Amino acid sequence: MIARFVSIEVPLKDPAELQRSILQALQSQGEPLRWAITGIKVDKEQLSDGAHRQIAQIEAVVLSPTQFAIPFTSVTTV
Amino acid sequence: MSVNPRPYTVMFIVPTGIGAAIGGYAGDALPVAKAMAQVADRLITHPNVMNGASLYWSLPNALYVEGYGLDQFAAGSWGLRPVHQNRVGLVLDQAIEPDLRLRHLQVADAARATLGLSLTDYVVTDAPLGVELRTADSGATWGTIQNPGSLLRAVEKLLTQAKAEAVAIVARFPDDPGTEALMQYRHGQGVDPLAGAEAVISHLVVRTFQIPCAHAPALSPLPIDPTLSPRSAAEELGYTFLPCVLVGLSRAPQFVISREATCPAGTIWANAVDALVIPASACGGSAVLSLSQTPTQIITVQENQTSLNVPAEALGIETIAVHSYLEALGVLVAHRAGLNPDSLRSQIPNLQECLETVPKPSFLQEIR
Repeated sequence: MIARFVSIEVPLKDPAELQRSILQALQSQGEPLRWAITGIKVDKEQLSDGAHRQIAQIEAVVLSPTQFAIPFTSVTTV
Repeated sequence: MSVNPRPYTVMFIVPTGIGAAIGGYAGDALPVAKAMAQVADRLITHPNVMNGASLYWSLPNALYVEGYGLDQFAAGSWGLRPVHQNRVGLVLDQAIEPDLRLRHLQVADAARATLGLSLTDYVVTDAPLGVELRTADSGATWGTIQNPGSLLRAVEKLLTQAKAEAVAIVARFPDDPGTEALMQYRHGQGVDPLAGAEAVISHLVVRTFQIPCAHAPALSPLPIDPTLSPRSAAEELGYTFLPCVLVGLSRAPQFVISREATCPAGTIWANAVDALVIPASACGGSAVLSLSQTPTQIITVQENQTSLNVPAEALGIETIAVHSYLEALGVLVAHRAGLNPDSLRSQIPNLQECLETVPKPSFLQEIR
């Protein structure tokens, strides 16, 4: 088992949905141990109606069973 | 104090490792916790608030809950069972030098002899834990350990052989006396470079064993600094940061994992939390998101600035925003008394006819 730092980005939603999305995204990288939304940014990509999505930036430490995982991963947008 | 059968319960969070102006240093949110404990029947808070190395203040109505457990509690997954005392076990990182190890053991003995705490025999990990520190892009400190398995084996030994009911971990942290981050921290500025890794260590133990746990770093003494900030000074009074951890754990509530009939009487669940007080710029934690979906009144404090910029309004969370903890205490008193805090202000707007459902905040931003 290793503990590693990851950062991900998830589109902003209402708190209940956001929490679910964050956990789901983190679980794809390991078992979430500690996480927090550490920033909010506006997506550069424009939607069809001219608006821009807001993105929650999350930093976390996850547990992975493998010894071969890359120690620090880059940002993943979910 | 109260004839209302529902104990007024306040949760007070100052996340660790984000440079909180109040609570980002050596137990410097403890005065706020002491004040809140006067207006609440029960205060639920966490080691970062209560721990001041050699300094501590045991509040009879405060529940000392580690961050992972606090998140599980807020999510409604775990309950809290208050106790009169825990037998506290001690795990020491094999990487701690013999003299420094002895200092920690003498603190543990002193806690038994001078404070009357119950401690079990201790365990040394079967490998160095390998603490690594990291500061993320946000400015928050995180960190990991290279040998989580060694830590978990040591804790398991304490629980099964020594019958410990709560566990204090002491890991050897890197000495970086010349770094800018440490210098700033000693001057009451910047972000605690150790905090993130400390939280990861205790989270790992609580997640695995569902027992009260807290961490104290083992470090070599620093050269004396005449310009040391009062906010950081508590960590330079002695050789270890362990006394506050032992005191906190000695009465930390046990976790209750099941809501079934076997659930012990007196267990506290998230629906008992009347108010949550947090820094205004740090609303993106798991416990805040969980409690924002409940009737809990969330109070955000502007003055307690952090390295983050995650305000409640950006997340669609309704709060009462106040400037300072002094003002937050007033809101808590009003809330407890059943008053709308706005009724204490000079201007009270007239009621308006309710015409439409209040629109939910949009998470789309229109660019003009």
